[in-house]
Amino acid sequence: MVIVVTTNEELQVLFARIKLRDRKAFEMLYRQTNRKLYGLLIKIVADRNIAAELLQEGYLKVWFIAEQGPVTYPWAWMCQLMRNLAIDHVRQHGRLHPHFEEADILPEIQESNETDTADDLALLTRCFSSLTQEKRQAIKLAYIHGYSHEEIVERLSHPLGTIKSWIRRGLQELKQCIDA
Amino acid sequence: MHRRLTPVRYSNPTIREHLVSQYLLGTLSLKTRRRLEFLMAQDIAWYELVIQWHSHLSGLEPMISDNPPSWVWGNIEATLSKQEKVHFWHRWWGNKWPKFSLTCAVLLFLFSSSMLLMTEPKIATPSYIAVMSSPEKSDYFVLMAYKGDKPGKSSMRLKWNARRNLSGANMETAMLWAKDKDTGQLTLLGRFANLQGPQPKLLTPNEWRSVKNSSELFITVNKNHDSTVLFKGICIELSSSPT
Repeated sequence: MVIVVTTNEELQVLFARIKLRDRKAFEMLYRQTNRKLYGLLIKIVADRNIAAELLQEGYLKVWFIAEQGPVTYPWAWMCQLMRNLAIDHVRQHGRLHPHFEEADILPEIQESNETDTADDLALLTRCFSSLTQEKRQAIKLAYIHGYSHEEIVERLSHPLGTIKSWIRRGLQELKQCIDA
Repeated sequence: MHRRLTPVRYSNPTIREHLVSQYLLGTLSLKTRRRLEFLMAQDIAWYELVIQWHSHLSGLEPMISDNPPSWVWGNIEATLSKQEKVHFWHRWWGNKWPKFSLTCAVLLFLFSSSMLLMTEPKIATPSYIAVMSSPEKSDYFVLMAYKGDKPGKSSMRLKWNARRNLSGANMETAMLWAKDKDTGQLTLLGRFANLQGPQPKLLTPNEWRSVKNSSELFITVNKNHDSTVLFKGICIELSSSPT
């Protein structure tokens, strides 16, 4: 039987096998996902060595607590696990480059889209563009670079209440627009 | 069917949306995040919100990718190998070593040390796998079919998702079916209850062929194939070895 599996289905199968403590499946999972997760970590911690250490820690967590991870959503679960590791690191140790410019640290990195389809991406882009500049900026700083509320306050020079309100309303408007 | 363990105050959809969106964004305090992760471990419905918000936010900017240093995988492998060795000795020496087990272990060492030291532990890999979901909730459990070394020795196992339970569901009469990928014909593979024992369910040659040729597996509430479908999942081939 030949079934053409999508990347997501492949990950689901690998994840199910990892739950059974299959080391080969774990290695395949690493080979298929390490580059994107490494990129995700670099964007938050802005340092390749720290990102590599966190990547190692993250994959070991994946192996040891895979039992807790949902088979259906392995990619989202792994992304959030890595993001949380990076955010915890930044909260604990501070940022090496508080105001880095991406172009300085990511010169040769390639980009790829993760969103499911071109239609989804177009909808998301349209909805996100409909937010005010301030809301877009606050959400991006938090999500892409793992900034805390306090760091966004410092970066955008607005009161904490305003920043929280921008983020909360921005997310609500984004969801309303996507669901409409 | 699915028992909710989330406290009532977290059943408010607005609160749930807010918490999950802030969780994905990374702006929750550590204490609140830990609390939310505890709730997620009790109720997988939270993850369904997580996946929604992940898809909303992950498209905001193209993901970057880059090759990590090779030592990352090297260190991961070394850690896992070290852990396997520790487990090996725990298994053999455990907490009963002083008397009988010590003697047994010495004898075992004398007779099979070369085999133990030179043979890598084998992990059985399923030939087919199906992630089973109910109409309401996904990811309940996984069915795995293993090819036997001779006809009648193939088997099927069930692996539960740790956070799912079937309290309230009547599974006594539930039946497992395979749907042929070409003809759509249904083949009864037996009672679902037979999959829940400690031993894997052995498949007859006919049952194995049905699994091999199936597009999906599903479980109905009783022996009537038109009865309510409780769970279903696409049957995916993991190995392409001749069967």
